[in-house]
Amino acid sequence: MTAPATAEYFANRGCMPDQAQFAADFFAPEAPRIFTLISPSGTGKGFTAAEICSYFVTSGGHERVLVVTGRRELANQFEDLLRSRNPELPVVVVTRRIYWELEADVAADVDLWPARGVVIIALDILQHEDVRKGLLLGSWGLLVLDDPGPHDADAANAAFLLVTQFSETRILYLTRNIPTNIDWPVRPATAGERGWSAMGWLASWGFGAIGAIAGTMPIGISATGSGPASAFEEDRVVTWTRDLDMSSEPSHDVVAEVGWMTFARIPEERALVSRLQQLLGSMCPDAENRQLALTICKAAASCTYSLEYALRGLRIERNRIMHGMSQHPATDDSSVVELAEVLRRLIPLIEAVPADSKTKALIDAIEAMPIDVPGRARGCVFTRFASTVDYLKSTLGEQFDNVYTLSNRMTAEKRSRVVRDCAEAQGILIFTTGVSMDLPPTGLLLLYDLPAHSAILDARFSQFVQVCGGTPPCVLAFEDTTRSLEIEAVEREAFKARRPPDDADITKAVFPNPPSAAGLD
Amino acid sequence: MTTQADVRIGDGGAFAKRIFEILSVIPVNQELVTVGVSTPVGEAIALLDKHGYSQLPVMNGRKMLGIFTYRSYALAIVAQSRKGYATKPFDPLSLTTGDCMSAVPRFARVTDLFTSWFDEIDSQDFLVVGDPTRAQAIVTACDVVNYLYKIASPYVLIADCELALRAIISIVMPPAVLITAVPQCLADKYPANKVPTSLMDMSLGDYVRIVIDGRWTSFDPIFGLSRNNTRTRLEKLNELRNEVFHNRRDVTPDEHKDLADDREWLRSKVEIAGSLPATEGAR
Repeated sequence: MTAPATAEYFANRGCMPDQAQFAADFFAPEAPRIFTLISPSGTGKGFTAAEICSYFVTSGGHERVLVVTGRRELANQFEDLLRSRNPELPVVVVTRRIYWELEADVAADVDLWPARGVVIIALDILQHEDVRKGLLLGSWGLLVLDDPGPHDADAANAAFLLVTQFSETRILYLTRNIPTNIDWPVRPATAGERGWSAMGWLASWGFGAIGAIAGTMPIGISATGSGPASAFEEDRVVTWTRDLDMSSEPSHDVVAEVGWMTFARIPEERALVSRLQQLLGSMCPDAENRQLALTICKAAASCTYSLEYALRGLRIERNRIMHGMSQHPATDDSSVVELAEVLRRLIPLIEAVPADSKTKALIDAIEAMPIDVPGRARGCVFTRFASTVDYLKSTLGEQFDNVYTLSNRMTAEKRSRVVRDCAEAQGILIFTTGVSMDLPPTGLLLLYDLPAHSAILDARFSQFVQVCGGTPPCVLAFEDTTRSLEIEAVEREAFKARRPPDDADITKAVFPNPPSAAGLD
Repeated sequence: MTTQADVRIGDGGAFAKRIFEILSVIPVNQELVTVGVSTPVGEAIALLDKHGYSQLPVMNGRKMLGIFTYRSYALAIVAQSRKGYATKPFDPLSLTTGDCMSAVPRFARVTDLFTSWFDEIDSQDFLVVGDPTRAQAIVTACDVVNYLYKIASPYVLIADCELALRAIISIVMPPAVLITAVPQCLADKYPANKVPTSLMDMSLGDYVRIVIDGRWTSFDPIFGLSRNNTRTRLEKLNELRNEVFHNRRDVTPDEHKDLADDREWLRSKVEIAGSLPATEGAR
């Protein structure tokens, strides 16, 4: 197949133009062995990789693909994605138990893997030496590495070893970002250390000259890495970056126009978020508590239930640490304990909030939307948090019939059924993640929380336009007129300007008055 | 070549839930640590200590020759001491694992039922899984206990939550109030003449409905004013209860944590309910 024909093939499979082009580049006759795909979460990396895996096995004349994911849930999600894209494709997710069972079926030192298909394995399984040895018994045409984000060094080393050992295998590396704040080439993480990315440094250590074929290099990487894996010196890394480069044309055909629905937090809600900011404001930010505090602030921006749920998780982790049962004992334990102890004071304030102003605005927006188009959902509600999905399902369920939810925990089959049922019943769909998810046609997309990046909205919006037969839905987001939560305001301003929020602004919003700034030095 | 794995994948990758198989009992993070036949016992003991294990397979290449355990070591010391007592002093650290391993045990397969190996586990405290050319894992009596606890604990936690909610309602709503009030909030769930009037006859779902109904403000001092939050939490608990009791799927580690936390939360609410003045009853 010629390159344009390959691109057309992938476009006909539902890929966006950039996704189809990336896949066509990957299968071009002179394509480099290693490709890196950089784009923010939710912009379709997994979807593109699933299409590539499917084509690789069914049309590419190859037999086996190995996919390495971060958490185990991601392995199951990728399996679902593959099955939904190609039900005929043989796929297996390897757990430790399945590995033992596969091993027991064959003699020692014999290739134990299925003769054809996609094998998916999570990093925690890959860390076991017997599993890694078993993987080396098979031959693999393609290795897909899905960057898990921050992970521990053992996992990173396990993945690194695999890359060095598969010197003939084609490699597709999916990542959200390659950070700019490190020296290149970087050293591998040492045991017990928590890195920013298990595989981010793979890109510099394992792979040689870095060159851009598609898109630009907006993240300032021009270094060449030369690490211990000299076998990769002749390889090139291709970056797919246009989603990140907000100064250039957007990667999707349409850009969502967002309308803003205002609401005013009631005094009890304001007292709660004000106390939260006051408590965090007295703390000294460090790398670990900054991330936790940021998550908690974002949860507070979503709804009080998500805030309570986040605090609950923090308290459970604190108790595990105090009882010596922490799963990841590390130097950051004291941050978790301090945060948990400081923020527990919020619980009585959460219980004292008698109403939810943001959800009331959401209900008003839905009620204002006429139900007059058969086969179309009344509205789709996006949130960042799974706990907010639970909350909205329960709360909207009190007001409306036919409230549905989509989550990554569902199988592809169940998700399809939910989407179909929701459209038929003209219901309300609440969803969180994954541009790859099926979505029903609708006239109303409600952003209960803002997506982390406006590019994510564009990607999802394109999907809605597709399923709506070219008619864009009305997009509404929510704005608190009392401006009582700083992080919310910072994210909203960045979103309106179609740029990622500035790190310094975020830190200032979460920790407005750190003790060190008050002259403790 | 078509492997066994292909056959499974052809079945859609759906592995049947086999709760009594040895495969289910092996701790998933277990790394099998082995020693050679000439490993000094000091080294072997250090390995046991480092990994928190009690047994080490003694290997000669791929072949398993026996098992080194604290027990086999103790027996070997006694035997060697008796043998050497008359001639020269005996140094226990002079032994190798080959000198004090116990005989090769019977091998269990991953697909065997662990219930059929109880006698073996009882007599030697462990079970070796695999075959003579490849030891795959070791299962101990404690592994079996942990596994059985893991599959039983969601049921116990849910039962505890249900009892706590029942206790709260019984404190807040005296029987007379219950008889008149409950039909109002369960009317759409049961036929008119079938509405339960006793807490003992109600399900967890019924309890949740009563608590979140909103007509009885006497629950407010217990659960707070955020009724939406309370409803979300209790409905989620009830949904999980239905998933578990109807064996629809396994409880995830996060859900297990949530369940344990729900249990603690409801227990604390029972204490609050118990401390309320009696006159706080149904309004």
